[in-house]
Amino acid sequence: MYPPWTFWDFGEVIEDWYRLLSEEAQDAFNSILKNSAKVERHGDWVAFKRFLKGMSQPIWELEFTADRRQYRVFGMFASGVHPDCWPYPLTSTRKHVILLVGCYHKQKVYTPSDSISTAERRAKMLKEGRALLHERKVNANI
Amino acid sequence: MSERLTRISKLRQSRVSRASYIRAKLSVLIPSQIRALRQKLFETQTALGKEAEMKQSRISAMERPGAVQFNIETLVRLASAFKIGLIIKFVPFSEMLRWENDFNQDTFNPVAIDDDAEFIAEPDLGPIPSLASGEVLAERQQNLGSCEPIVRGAASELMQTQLTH
Repeated sequence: MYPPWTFWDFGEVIEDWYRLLSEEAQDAFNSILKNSAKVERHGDWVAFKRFLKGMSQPIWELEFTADRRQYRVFGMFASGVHPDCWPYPLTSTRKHVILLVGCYHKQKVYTPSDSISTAERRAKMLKEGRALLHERKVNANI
Repeated sequence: MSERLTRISKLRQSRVSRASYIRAKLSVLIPSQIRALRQKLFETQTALGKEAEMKQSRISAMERPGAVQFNIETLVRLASAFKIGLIIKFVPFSEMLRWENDFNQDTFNPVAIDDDAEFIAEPDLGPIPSLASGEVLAERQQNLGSCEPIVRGAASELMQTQLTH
């Protein structure tokens, strides 16, 4: 049986960010996605932090710590995403998560500092059908 | 080379890689278990904190991936607050991966001791002789040895009573 959630990357940016992470951070990120994919309610995801306030669209924040650094990932749900952004038609039985930005966080400062505005801009591009999504394969065999 | 093969190659060659891998998986799977149990057994982090004699802020941190470096005593306190046991064992990497793949936070629900029929069941020790010979006692002691600790404790007490009367 498939887990209820499927993860999608905004373009190549999440993969680019992921490849620069330390091994421990990569493993933690994979484990978080693997774990969350099976949890029905997004509010129960172990890394789910909050919905950002003052956004034009519902954008939320994941948090995790690895190799003594704090990481943040901003994301959104599929609702409102333009059909042209998907590589193939979606099935209604699964729920979809879109990862928009990955960044560091320390003492209320995000690095890059424009991470939140970038997430908002990308969410808008998805709404307008001006970006492509790539399915993020959560590797179950490592 | 696939990501998996690359990773396995690093795991075989580097102790640091192995430590990172183990740490990363535990940093997700321990908080995930704590969150699952807390949500099922306690309404709030504050309620769990009260039972485990920890601050709510600490419980909150323990439910976040990587936010806390757990020590065994902390896990013992949580397990006892949840009224469940705790296993810490060294395993092959394949078993660790299987554990991660099979784990589901939504369905994770170990039985608490109050409902653990297998653990709390009284063992059938047979009638206690009025004059217990050394042989009978030795046999009974052997039988008790296979019982779970809580039962063993109670039964030993009973035997002590027999011996002193």
